[in-house]
Amino acid sequence: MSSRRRDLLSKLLGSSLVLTVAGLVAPICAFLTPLPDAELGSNLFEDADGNPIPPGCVSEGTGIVGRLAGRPTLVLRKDRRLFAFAAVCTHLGCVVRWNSNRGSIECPCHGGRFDLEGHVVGGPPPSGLQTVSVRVHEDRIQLA
Amino acid sequence: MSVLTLVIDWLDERLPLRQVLETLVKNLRKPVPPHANFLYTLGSLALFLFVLQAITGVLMMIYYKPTVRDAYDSVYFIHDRVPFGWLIRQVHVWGANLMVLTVLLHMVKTFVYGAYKRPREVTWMFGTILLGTVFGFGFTGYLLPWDQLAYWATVVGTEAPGSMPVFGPLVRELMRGQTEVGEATLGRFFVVHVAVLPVLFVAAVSVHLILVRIQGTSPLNRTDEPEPTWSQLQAEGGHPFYPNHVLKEGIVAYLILGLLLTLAILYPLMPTERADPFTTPEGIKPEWYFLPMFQLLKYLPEPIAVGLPGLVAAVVFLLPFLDRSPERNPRRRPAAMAIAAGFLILTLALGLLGHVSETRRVIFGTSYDFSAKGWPTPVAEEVLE
Repeated sequence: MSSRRRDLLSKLLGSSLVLTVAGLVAPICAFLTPLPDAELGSNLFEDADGNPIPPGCVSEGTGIVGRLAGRPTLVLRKDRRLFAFAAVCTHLGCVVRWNSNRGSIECPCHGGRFDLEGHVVGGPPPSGLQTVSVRVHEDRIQLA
Repeated sequence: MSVLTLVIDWLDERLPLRQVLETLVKNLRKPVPPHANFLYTLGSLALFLFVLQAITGVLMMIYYKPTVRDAYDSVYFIHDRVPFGWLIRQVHVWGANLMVLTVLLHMVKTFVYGAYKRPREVTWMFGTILLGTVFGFGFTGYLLPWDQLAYWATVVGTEAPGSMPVFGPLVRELMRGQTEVGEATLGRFFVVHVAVLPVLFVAAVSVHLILVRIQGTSPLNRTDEPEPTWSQLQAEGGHPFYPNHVLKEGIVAYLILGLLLTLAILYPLMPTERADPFTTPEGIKPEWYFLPMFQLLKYLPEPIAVGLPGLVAAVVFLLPFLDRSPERNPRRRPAAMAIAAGFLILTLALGLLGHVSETRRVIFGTSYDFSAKGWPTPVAEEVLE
């Protein structure tokens, strides 16, 4: 066999091997890509066990942290209105809670404080909490 | 001096790496006898399929949940929601079937060419252990989707050994982890499938491969004649294992990968409905490779039907010591070939009876109902209407 033909065949073999490996690795990479949070959780406000938290549980002046669309979410009721925030502190990732005495959202880790619009009012957090729009439907709190 | 040489030198000071590498390279170059045709690629094909099973299996473990409540849904979650989850799972399911087939054919080939004979008895015995682990993978993996067919096949599969005298009930309880097939059984099967068997398999396959490479491919001459030397093999027209034979193995692996992907994409195998411990469906069946054993249970009293496969396993394991003939060439072992062919035909017939049993099939325009034992009865016209 001439050396040019041999070269061509080797190159063809090499590139088909590379293509095959790429064809096998690509679906594996896709498989390993994290699913969107919403895919893993429902769009209902739920407790840690996945049971829905009805709006009645969030009484006036209290706040509950649960899961909404796969993320920790703080839902609180003040002046008969429901407010919802992404409950993960923007400082170092602790979960914030509602302090009814002071009327502010507080982070237990480093004392970050937020108002009812999610803005930082004290402590080290670099930015405010993201607000989440929710609505009540069929006695469930869900993503609006 | 290149970095690689530096690293090898550094390691060589601490362990005899060069010696190990040289032995490895030497054994890779060892010529394969000229009679080694494409059938001699089945072993490496089985290994290739095992690697695929390991990769797809590990991937599925990310999302699979081994609990009675979640198992079934998590399998569908992998299938429907995870990107390429369907492909990963189908390759695993079809790969399992192809792997059992490959290992069985590999064993038949080894038997036909007399490669289990002296001095390769240990290689054969490790091979039968590997076949046992492959069956174990199949048996435990079948239950994991927790669907009706698998659940009831496992009920029968764990009930049968319970009929063995003395240890039977203990074996059944150990397999089930509780009286019925349930949460404890699923937990046990899962751990055996993903932790115990893989470790056993890798350990046994390592010994198997090292022995195969060191002893070289079995020649066809008598065991009381000396094995052909390197130069004799070359003179007979034997080519080196690497690259010649490895290329052959690569070609086969490539073709089978294509077949596997085709089957996975065109003929997806889905779980049946969710397992219901209170309703036994009609016509439950195990995986095809357990069908002959399953069918045997319908003809013989339980202790015999369970003991017989055990006896066969023992004979196969000890075959190199039971078959004392020094001949390797199949043409000079007519009795061994006849016995093996008889056994194969009987097993295939049992499997076929198991396959058609409890079904209705149309053969040459007439409908037949096949009984549990596999006997056909023509279906009366009025019943069909």
